[in-house]
Amino acid sequence: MSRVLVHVGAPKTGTTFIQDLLFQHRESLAGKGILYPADRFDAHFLAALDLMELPWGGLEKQASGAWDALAARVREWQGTSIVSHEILARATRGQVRRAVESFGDAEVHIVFSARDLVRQLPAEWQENVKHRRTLTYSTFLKQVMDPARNTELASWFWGVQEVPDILARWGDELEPSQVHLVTVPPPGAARGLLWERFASVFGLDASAYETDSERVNPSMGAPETDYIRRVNQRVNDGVLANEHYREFVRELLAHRTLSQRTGSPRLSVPPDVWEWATELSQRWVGELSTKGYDVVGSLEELLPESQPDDFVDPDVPLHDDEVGIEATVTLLEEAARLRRENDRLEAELAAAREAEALGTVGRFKRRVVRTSDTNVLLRGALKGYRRARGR
Amino acid sequence: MTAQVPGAAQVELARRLQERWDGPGFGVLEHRVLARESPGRGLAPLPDGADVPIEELVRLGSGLLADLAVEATPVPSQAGRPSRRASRLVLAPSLDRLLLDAWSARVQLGSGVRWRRFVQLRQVRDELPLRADVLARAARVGPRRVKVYVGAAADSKAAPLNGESLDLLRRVNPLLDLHVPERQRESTRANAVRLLSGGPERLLPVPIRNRDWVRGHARRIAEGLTAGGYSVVGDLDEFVAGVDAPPLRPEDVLDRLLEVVVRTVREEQS
Repeated sequence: MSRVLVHVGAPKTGTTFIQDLLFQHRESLAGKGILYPADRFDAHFLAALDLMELPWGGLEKQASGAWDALAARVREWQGTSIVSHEILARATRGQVRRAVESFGDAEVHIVFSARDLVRQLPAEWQENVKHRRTLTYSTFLKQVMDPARNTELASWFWGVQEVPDILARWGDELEPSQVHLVTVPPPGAARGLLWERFASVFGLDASAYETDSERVNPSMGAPETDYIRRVNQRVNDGVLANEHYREFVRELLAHRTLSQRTGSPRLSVPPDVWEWATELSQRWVGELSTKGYDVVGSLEELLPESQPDDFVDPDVPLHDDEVGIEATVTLLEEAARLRRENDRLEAELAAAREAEALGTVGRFKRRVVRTSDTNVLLRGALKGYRRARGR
Repeated sequence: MTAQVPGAAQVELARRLQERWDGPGFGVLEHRVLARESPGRGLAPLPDGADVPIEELVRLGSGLLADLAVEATPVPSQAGRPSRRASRLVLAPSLDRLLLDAWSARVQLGSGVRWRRFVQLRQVRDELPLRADVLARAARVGPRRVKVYVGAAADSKAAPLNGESLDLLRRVNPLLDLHVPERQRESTRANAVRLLSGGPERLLPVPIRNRDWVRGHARRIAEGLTAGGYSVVGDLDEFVAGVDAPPLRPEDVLDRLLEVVVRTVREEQS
């Protein structure tokens, strides 16, 4: 009997790394009976947009019919299929039902990777900032902690982070043994442990795969995140188009430059939030321990570690000039690179135009003259020709 | 897409539609509303009995409207891009109105951009849409050959949708992109435009933060026409003055949505 493993999140739990690894190795996986049905690395994201009827900055134009196409490939496959995208965590019960039905007779398994709330809270704020939001950390925390959850931000946050609720939405119609909860190891755990846990759920030999994925979603520290937030205040509202924001702010500045700075204070939570998150996590762990899910790792890992005593508030300017200088240097280097590229293309264009203007005969003559520099016979012939023409 | 148990948004939207239905036969529409999930982002499904923000009702109703457009019998699209040919006759209502017409045309061609953002983007680039830059259009023909009619409604291939309908269409557009293959989008969009046509004229004012920028351009155009010796019929002050109307209210958008849904389903049933 075929089966499908649906990895539905959560964001910031190594999902990008897993998706990239599965995509890179999709051909060798297929040889082992495991299908990762994707022709592009974001194929399952588009399918999720389609399933969840989610417009996403114009990408929805490419998503029409994507879920049905994905489900058809799963139905046709005689073996194990893996579907993975973290926004699936937000699916409503109706969308979950449609998804499960679309897989036909395949045995459905849900995989959810979870990390403790104290690490997820700042990570989600940072993710918001990297998607052009300008709200401060304290505003973010206030909205998320408000029991009313009556903002779009809070609604989305809990939709993709509230572990018991997500597993209930996706797993209530399944046997508990078909719901796999992978916990993210605590900081300092052996590198590769998370991948080993995923691999055990996917039925893969973890050691057989190169895990140096290029496509990761790295984190910034407190001053760097605040810097990007303040940049957002200046470039939103039409100053920088989405595609340019993605290229220059998110990828170049946030991912490739500022997240490489490891010496700055890391994002954390203030003491009162730590206490609130710990209490909530304890309730979750108590609830999850009664469900009989397949826990890969340990529920204890969902409890925050001891309270950090060095909380640095990113809303209070840290006067770290180096962040701005590093960002400026990076952008100057990029500007210079683009200028060089532009100059090269302009030279190429000018040469092409010149050749066009010369016509076929002109191009032949120029070639003869250039070749005569190195060809003695041709040089002699050219000399004779010029003498005959009286030049 | 169907919901298992109707949430508060479904129940409330059904109630408001029923208030407008008047007569038997509401069951089919009621079933559709109760079974429809809200598209897009927004709040998680609200449990039955919860207070539902107007925006959530509009979000759910937009999904319903998109479904109706997909199901409707295709009609040829009337929308078209504005002509770039120079004309000897330039019809120039206020600059506000020309901007609104430009947004209307854009939305009728499938854009999901909001009115506020549309104007703001123009301001950031300090660039008027071609159809709104009356001076540039007149200059292409020349002062002695062109005549500018101030106050006259501009000629447009776009349907005359009112402000609420345009706001609904910009919400429906990305849903059509999701649900309809590319080759059928134009005709489905034409269906949506047809469903949203009619209703009282309702102009939208330029957002407050953009007014100075729009007035500045309106004055520049008016002064340019005068200084350039163009033949102008009408009062250029009217061109500069702009639209005096209240901004779009969510309640009015919902009201329009209810009206369009009830009318469309009734027509389907008759």
